[in-house]
Amino acid sequence: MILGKYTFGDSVLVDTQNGASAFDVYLHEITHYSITQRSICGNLMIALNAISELRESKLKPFLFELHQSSIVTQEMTAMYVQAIYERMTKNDSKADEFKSCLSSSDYYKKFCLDGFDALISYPEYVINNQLLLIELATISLNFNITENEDICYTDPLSFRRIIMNNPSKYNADYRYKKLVNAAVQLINHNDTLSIDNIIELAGIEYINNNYQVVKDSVFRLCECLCAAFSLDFDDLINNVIKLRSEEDVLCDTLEGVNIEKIKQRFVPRALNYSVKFPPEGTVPLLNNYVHTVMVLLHDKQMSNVGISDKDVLILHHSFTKWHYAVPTKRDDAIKYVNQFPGEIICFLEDHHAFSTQFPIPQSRRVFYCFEGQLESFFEYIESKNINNIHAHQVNDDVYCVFATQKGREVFFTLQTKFVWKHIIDSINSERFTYINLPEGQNIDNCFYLSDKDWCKYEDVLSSIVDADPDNSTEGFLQIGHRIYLQ
Amino acid sequence: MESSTIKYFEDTITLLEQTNKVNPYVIADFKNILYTDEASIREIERLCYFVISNLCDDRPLIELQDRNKNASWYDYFRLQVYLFLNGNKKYYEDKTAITVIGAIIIDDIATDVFNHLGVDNRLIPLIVSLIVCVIAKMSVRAWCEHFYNETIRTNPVLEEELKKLEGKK
Repeated sequence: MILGKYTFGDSVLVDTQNGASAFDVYLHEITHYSITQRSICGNLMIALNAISELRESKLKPFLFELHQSSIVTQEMTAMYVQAIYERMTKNDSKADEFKSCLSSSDYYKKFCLDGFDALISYPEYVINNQLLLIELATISLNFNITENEDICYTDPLSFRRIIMNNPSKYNADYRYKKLVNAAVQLINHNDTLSIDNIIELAGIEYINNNYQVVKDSVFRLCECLCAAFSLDFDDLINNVIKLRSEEDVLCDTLEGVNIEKIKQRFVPRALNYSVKFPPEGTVPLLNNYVHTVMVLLHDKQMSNVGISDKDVLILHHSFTKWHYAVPTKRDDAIKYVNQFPGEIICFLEDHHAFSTQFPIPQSRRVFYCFEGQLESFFEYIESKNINNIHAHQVNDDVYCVFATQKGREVFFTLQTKFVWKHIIDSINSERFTYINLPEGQNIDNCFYLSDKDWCKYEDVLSSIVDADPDNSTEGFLQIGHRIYLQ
Repeated sequence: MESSTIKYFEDTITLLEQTNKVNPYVIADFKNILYTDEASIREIERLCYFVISNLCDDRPLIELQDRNKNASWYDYFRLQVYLFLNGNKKYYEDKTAITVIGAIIIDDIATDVFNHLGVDNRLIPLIVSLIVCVIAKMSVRAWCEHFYNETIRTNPVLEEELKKLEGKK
């Protein structure tokens, strides 16, 4: 089970509804965040990720190469931080229990190098005011591959060749192994454990990190990419790559963890599939153009992730898949939603609270998303005297059933293909009436001209399903088609 | 190192690269360590496990049904290999026997075990070859001793399973 994820962005995702509330899972993900954001290679990966998603998808293989060659560095360090946290906060027997559990895990067997056990048992786990392996991981990732003149930015394999042919310069995992081995060797010989000693023994090149070095390497990457793919340099720098302030990049520390600060970097499960922030500075403008807003009324779970006394508005742009959350006070949320021109989405469990506590004009339509079994959905809409349904095939495996009435409420649920027979049976038995659109209104099996109103449904579906932004035709996401029943 | 062993390593790495499923940097590490004189046993095993995990699409290696979760099919399979090698001590010192061992394991053990556990048939020969590479690198005797001391003896589930399997023979 995947409990958390870091995808080279500004947020860390944790599945807060599937038992991943243990703080060590938060720490695992925040470690990825931390060592990526504080290192040169990490910042190049963030830039490559942003550019590949928003401007040039052919760059993804370059990100893949850097990611694959640094995976041990990332995962072993994250597990080390988890283990140290257990040591710092639990008594010895609990920490040993955790260690034993950790050492039988798939992750441990794959990612933990020889010496891991010695390192987590070593009492001096802080070096340069950092946890030891955070510091070693940052050093491992502190190389500037863009300086290499032999890279061909239209050939991802040129990256691989350069990384493999120069492991001590550009292969993060190779550098990390050397550093870890050196640290373990020093520990075993009771020598002084200092960064200088470790680097000297490991024999690797080390770039002293600072904001200017990070910035220069990202600018150099952008220059090369602009030349290779005819991209606009100013556009990349200003709109795609959000260079963080010096303080944010380099002064973050896991030592003396600020729990509230960390929790605020996590987002609840509703966002757990595709959080993508728009470029900095565009948010106020963009809010006029987003297609849907999902309203999550405040609940206890939000308090658990550091959002107190606020609702959360999730804004979604259907074409770019920008998808981000804004915690907002109730009054402001009501004001915003009332002025919002796009579609409003709520979870069905908030139906009563939303309709009684969140005044919006009668004319506004609200889509309520139901998470549960199809039969429960059918029973619910029957209880509301709704008889009309129509369906959308999202992909080979997933269907969406919409239930509508003349009022302003639309109920919908995502279901697997296995329920299709049940839907047909319920229509044949006249339990529900299936609403086909008149022939001729279907464009590209997807969009409809009239306000009857497929574009809106498309927007809602796009904000709920995790569609691939690269899978597009003429700029629109392909997320299946409405089903026409004979 | 015997030329037949080197050939076995080369063929296995080539097949591995052709799958396009495995982290290329880990393949390179695995290849390097097979040819390195001073190789850490733990690192060889870690890389082998990593590669097999990638081959299985990085699903956590399937735990045995109805058994204690501490035994993965990977451990269970290696237990069967251990049993076979321990019962055929003629292979302990025969350095030319590596390809024979691989073929026998595939024929005699692997298909049954892997089919039972739902592993893709097409991957079986390659997974067996990878494990045999580790055995060849360490020598049959060293691998058996290491596997018994480090894995079987520290895992009551595997110890119990070994007793059962030995009883059946």
